[in-house]
Amino acid sequence: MKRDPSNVDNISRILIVNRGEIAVRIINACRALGMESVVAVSEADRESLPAKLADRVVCIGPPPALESYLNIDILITAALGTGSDAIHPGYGFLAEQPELVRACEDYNIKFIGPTQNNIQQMGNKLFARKIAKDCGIRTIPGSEKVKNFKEGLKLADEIGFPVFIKAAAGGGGRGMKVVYDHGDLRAAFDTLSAEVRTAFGDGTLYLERYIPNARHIEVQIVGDHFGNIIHLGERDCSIQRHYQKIIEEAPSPVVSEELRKKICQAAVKIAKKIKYRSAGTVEFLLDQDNGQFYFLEMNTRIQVEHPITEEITGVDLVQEQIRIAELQPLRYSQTDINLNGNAIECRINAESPFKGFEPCPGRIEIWAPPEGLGIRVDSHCYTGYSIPVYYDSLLAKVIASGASRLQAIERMRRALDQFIISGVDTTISFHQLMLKHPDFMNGRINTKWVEETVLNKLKESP
Amino acid sequence: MKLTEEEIVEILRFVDESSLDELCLEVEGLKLIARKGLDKISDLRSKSDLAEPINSISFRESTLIKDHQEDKFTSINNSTQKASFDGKTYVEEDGFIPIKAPRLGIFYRYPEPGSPPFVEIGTHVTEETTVCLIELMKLFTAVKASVKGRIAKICSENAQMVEYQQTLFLIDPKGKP
Repeated sequence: MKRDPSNVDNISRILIVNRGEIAVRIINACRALGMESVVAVSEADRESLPAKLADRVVCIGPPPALESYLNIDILITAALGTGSDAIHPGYGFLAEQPELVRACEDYNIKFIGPTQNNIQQMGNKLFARKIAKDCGIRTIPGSEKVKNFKEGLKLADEIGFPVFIKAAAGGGGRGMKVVYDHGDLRAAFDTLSAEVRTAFGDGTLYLERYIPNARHIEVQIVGDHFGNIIHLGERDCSIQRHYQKIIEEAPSPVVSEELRKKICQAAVKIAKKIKYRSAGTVEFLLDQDNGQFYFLEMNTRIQVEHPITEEITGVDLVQEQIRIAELQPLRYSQTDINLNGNAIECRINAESPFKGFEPCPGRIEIWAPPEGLGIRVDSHCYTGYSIPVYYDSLLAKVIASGASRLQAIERMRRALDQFIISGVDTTISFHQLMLKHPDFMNGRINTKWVEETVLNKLKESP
Repeated sequence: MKLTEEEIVEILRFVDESSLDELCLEVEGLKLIARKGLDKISDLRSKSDLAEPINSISFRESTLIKDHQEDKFTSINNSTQKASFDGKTYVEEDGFIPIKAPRLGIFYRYPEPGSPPFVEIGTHVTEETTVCLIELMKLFTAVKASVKGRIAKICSENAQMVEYQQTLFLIDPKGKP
C-alpha cells in the first residue's frame, strides 16, 4: 500500500446536504469519528430525525428540493456560515453533480466524494462505456450516439430486437426504455429524447442489446488519494421494479468464486483507469444464459444498499469516505477484506403495494422497528413523524445478516413479521411475499422477475 | 447641523423641566417629538431617521428597549445563535410581527460599509421600506418590511448567516410615526 499520512487534513465539522435515513447514517459516522454534524434541512424537514440528532441544524429553504437541497449557492453559503469544513452529499440530490464539487473547491470546502472528473467521466454513459472497453471489459453490444430515428432503426436492426434505448446522461434506472419491434421504436425514440432533454439537459440517446435473463451484479470499491483502490465484493440487486432496486443481497447467490474474482478485478481496473477516489460502485449485467458479464455503469456516490457490504466486510463505508476526504490513506489492503456470511436488505417504502404502489405520505402513528441479532434498521422515522409529500417514499432499510444465506433470510422474515408500522401503508407485505417465494429461495430470478412473476401474483392476492 | 446624544438629552431635560407639554424639533437627519407624561427618558435614538413619540411606548416595549440599551450585544448575539443553532425561529413577543428571512444568506443591515443602517430600533417602516439585504453568493436581495409599524427589535447580527425563515426584526404594528 502506498501511504503518505503526513498530508492528513482533518475535518472537524461536516455539513450534510441530504435528508432521510442517509442523513442519520452520516450523522452516526460523524459521531463515531468525533466530528460535528450540521444538517441542512428544508422547511419540511425541520422536525425530521436528522434535525433532532445533528449537533446543529440549518434551515436552507422551502420544501421543494429545487429551492433547498438542489441549490448549490444556498448549500455553499450554509457551509461557510456554519463553519463547516466539509460537505457530505449522501445519495441522490446533488451527489453526482460535478458543479457541487467545483463550488466546494472554489470555496475551500472538502467534498466527501469523488473528484469532479470522476463524476463527469462516469456521468456520461457513452463515455463510461468507452472507458470500460479501453480496459478490455465487455460492454453490452450497442451503438454510439444515435443521431436520428432513421439511424436508430438501422442500428436497432444490426443489434437485434428487443433493444434498450438509453440516455447518455441517464442512470440509476432513469432514462431508458425497452423496444420490442420496429413499430414501437419511433414513439419510444421521440418521447425518451424529449424526456431526457428535460430531465438531464442532454437528449443524447444510444442503443444497447436487451438481455432478457440478466442479473444485476455490482461491485463496491473504495479508492484514496494515493492510488490505492480495493473492492469489497459484489452485491446482487436483481430484484427490481421499474428498474428500481427493492431487495439486495451480498454476496450474490449465483456468483462463483471464479466469477467473483473476475468481476471484482474488472471493477477495480475501471476505477484505477479513472483514478477513482472515495466510495463508488461499478455495475454489471450478468447474462444468465451465457454466463458473460457486461459493464453497465458506475455510480460515483455512496449507494442506498451499501449496508449489506458493511455487514459482510465489517468496513464502515461512510467513515471511509470521510477519512479519504481527509487525505488519509485506506486503512485496508485487498487482503484485509474478507467476505463473511450473507446479508440482505429490504427497502421499505411508504407505498400501497395493492394500489399500484401509490405513494402514501402521512403521519406514522406507531413505529416499532425489529431488533435482535443480525438485524439492522437504517431509518429516519419515529412514532408521530409525518412523512412529507415532497421527497421519496423510503421509510427504512431493513438489513438482516447471518452466517448463511438461509439464516439471513430467516432473520429477515422474522424482522419483517415483527416490524410494526401504523398510520401509513408500507411495502412490508410485498417483501414478505417475495421472501417466501420458491424462486427467491432458490436464487432463480432475474431483473424481470418482480414484474413478470411477483406482480402477477400480487394481483391475485386480496 | 447635527445634534449629539448629550444635546438631545439636554433638550429633553429642558422640555421635562419646562411648562411645555410637547416639543417638535426637526433638524438634519433627526425628527424629535417629545411629549410629557412619562416617568423617565428611556429612549434615545439620535442615529435613527425618526424618533418616536415617547409616550406611545408601552410598558412592554420600554422594558424591551431598556434591555436592549443595557445589554445590546449580548441579547442580539443570543438571539442569533439560538436561531441558527436550533433552526428555530426567534421567540416572538406578543403583538409583534416578525420580519423573516425570505432565503438563507448573509444578513446585512447596511446598504454598504460605512453607511447608516437601513433601519434602527424605533424606525418607522411601511410595507415598502427596505429593512436589510440578504446576500447569496454575491447576489443581494432587498428585504421589505411588508408591514407598517415600528422596528421593536433587531434579532440578527450584521454580516452573519441567517437561515430560511429566521426572524430578522420584530415590528410593533401599533408604533406610529
